[in-house]
Amino acid sequence: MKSILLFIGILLIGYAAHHFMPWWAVYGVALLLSAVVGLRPGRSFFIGFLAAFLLWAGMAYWLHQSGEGILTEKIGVMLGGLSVPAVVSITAMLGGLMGGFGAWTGSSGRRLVM
Amino acid sequence: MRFVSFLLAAILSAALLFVLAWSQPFGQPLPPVGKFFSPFGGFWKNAAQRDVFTLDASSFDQLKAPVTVVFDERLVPHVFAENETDAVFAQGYVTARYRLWQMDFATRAAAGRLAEVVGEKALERDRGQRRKGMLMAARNSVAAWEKSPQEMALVEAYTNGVNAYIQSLTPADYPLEFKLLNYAPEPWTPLRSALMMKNMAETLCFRSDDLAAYNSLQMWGREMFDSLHPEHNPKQSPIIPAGTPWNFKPIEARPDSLSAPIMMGELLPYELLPQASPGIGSNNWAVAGKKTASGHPILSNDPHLTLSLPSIWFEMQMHAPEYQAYGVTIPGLPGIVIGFNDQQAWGVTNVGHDVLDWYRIAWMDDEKTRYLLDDQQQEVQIVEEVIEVKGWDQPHIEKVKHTVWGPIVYEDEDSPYRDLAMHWMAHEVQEEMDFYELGAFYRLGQAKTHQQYVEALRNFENPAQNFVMANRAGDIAIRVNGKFPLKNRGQGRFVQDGSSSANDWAGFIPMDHIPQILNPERGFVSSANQTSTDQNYPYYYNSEGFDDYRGRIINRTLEEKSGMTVQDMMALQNDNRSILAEEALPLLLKLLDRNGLSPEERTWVAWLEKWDLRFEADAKAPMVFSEWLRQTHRRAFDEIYVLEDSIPLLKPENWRLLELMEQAPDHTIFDQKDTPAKENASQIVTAALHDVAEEWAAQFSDDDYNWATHKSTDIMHLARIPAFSTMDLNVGGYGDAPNAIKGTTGPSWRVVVELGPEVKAWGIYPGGQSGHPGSRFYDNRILPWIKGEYDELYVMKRSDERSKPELFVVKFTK
Repeated sequence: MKSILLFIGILLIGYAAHHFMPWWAVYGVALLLSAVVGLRPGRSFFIGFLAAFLLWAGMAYWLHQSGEGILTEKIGVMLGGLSVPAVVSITAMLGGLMGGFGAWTGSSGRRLVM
Repeated sequence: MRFVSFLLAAILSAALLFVLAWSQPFGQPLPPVGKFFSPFGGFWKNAAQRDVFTLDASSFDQLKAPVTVVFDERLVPHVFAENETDAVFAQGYVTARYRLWQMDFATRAAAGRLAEVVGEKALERDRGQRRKGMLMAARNSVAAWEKSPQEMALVEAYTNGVNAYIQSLTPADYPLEFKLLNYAPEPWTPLRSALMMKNMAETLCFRSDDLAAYNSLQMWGREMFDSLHPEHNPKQSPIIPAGTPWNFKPIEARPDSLSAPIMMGELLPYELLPQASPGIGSNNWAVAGKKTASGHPILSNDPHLTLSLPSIWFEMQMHAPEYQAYGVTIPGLPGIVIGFNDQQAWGVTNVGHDVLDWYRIAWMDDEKTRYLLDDQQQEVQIVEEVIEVKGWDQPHIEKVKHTVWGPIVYEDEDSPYRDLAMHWMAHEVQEEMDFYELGAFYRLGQAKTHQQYVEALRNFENPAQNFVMANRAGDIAIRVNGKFPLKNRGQGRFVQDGSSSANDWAGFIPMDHIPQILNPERGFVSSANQTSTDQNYPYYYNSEGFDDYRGRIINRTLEEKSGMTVQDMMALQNDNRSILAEEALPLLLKLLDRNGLSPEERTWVAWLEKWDLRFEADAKAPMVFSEWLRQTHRRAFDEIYVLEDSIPLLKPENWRLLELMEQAPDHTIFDQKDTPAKENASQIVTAALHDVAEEWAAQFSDDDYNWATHKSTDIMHLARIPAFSTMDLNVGGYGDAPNAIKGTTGPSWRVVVELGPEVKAWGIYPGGQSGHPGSRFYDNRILPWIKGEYDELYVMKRSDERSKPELFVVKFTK
């Protein structure tokens, strides 16, 4: 239950926060939410990673689709010949890592003080 | 244990965030990874198609009345405003909406402000721009504009429009290139528009061969120099037909001396400053009703410029009570540059007269602060140019010394143009006038008669253009329009002695005395960057770069034909035939000694003998021809090529090489300096073909290798990012053919306007309306442009007219 709460929280609040905060918004959101929810650090990392990964992947893929893929292909070429899936995957990984490390830091921080 | 877990998480988090915030794994100038990849603000935000926009809740204080902009299916905006200022405001807004980064980058590059965004690697380039006085020249323009309420009204309305768009942006909305180079747009200013004009001047009238011509003169001596570099090509077909009488009393430059004093001295082995590519040039012509099938005049124009993405031009219709025109605009400048209204059309090509002269300074002290002028000591004025450099704590301060002539561009050892002062028309402080160049373009859009066209152009001074005109009343005309220095015969062709004020320009040619013609007998007017007049024009002007072949084939074609149609005009713009090949090929083949040719050389000769003289994409003969002519030139002028890397020297023009091959095949110039034998033209031509074989045999025998591959035309992105460029176009053309497509230059806009009861026009440029690499309108016109196709231009009469489908409509409210 807590896991689902954390997952949905990062997804929704992360999405909203990204419109007001810089690119690291999802890190901050994962950190705060997991500090509140209080799962074990390992589980927090997993949930945080998954939620942020999906958030960044979903957003990137949606923009890719709505742009008919024209720019994604060009960015791939610019980055040394990466394919479209590779460009989306790199993006999702970056988001996922931020979510994972944010959630781990939040939950282990909570355990430290509580 | 808990503490260890927290510490580990914190350390790993810090490391991750540090890497994302600072590392640039793909190198400079790509931005840090986190910011760039974020789908909420990075490049992904630019991936979504954003061609269509709305202004739901926006209102604009600067507007006096609402403006409606209809975007047609090619994303061409049709601006309908209730007054002229509002129309220009909307032009600024809409242009910035699609071209903001290009406007920023082009004017930054012109001003010498690139290091501010890309760092130290652009510093040398920026220094050059400052030392050439580009920023100073633009400031001079703004100072002049400020004295003209008309000019300022235009520039300010445009500036307000651009800034209204910039203010609507959040960092996530910035055009992609701002994100790539990691900087933010800054407000537009009149100075930015002035820089765009100076950018044009740099492209169109910065050419100067004074240093090379001076060295060549010292090396060859007068007689041989004149033989290799005659100023007048007898086969040339000037813009104003030969024999046209001049109905004015010319003023004299310096009555006391017929010829400018020529300075003789040691060679000046300095590097040359970078100049615009020699492919810069253009065609325009207008055919009178008596030579067209419809009986209506037809005007054509195709400016040849460096092809780039985003495109140089932005197409637009503007409709206000006193200003109704359709055509192409230059992002950064208000008004339409090449276009037409419901009565009249106009177009431009570059004049190319030498308006940049160099003067050798006689220093009087080691610090180079005092110099000699007419036996008097003069002090230099030191101007400090501040160049911001990204990543540096302190800006770079560039001290430029100014003399009465202009800036000393370089003064250090081993630098280009050392101790030479530059006198350039684009630096001139313009007199107070009722309007300037932007006002001239604006008035051309309003002009409906020949008289109004003349009136619009009287203040157009720089960069000088050949303005062609045609109207529904049946007039056709052309003016070699600009402010030209008044020179003695021969003056300004070579580096001059800067210690004598007698070497200064004696004044300027009166505007009433510039070459111009209205409704000539032959029924057409045309220009293609060739010499403006025949030798009887009473004023001296010079250039080492006048076109020698496009003007001739255009005039020949227009002379021969009658009953011409719009399709004939399009065919001429796309004509890949060249008179250079017509004249050179028979000579090469005649002079070739066919004994001892290799099998592949024999194949090539067979190709050339069957060749139709057209530089078509899939043809093979043109690649052999162009290389053979190039090697013949190298062999004939081996004396010049051996010094190529150490001293700038003039290279004789192709037409003179052909003349020598034909009339003087035993001329000493054909003797190779590194052989004991005395060669003639025939031996040179034959050896040149062997040179081609040595260099190109492998490529030329490849079945897939053709003229298009050999010529290799690229349309590069302005920041030279290959992923945003279109490379290796499968396209024909030749610099000396009307369809002057070369490696990086070519027809940047082709337009044909028929001035019938309803003015109709067709046009195309190799790019697209949007400057955003993610847009489907970024490069969608390149393929049809390659094929020689045209779009029929949709001239709307009212904003609610719907005779063609629109893409979307935007309403600007007050």
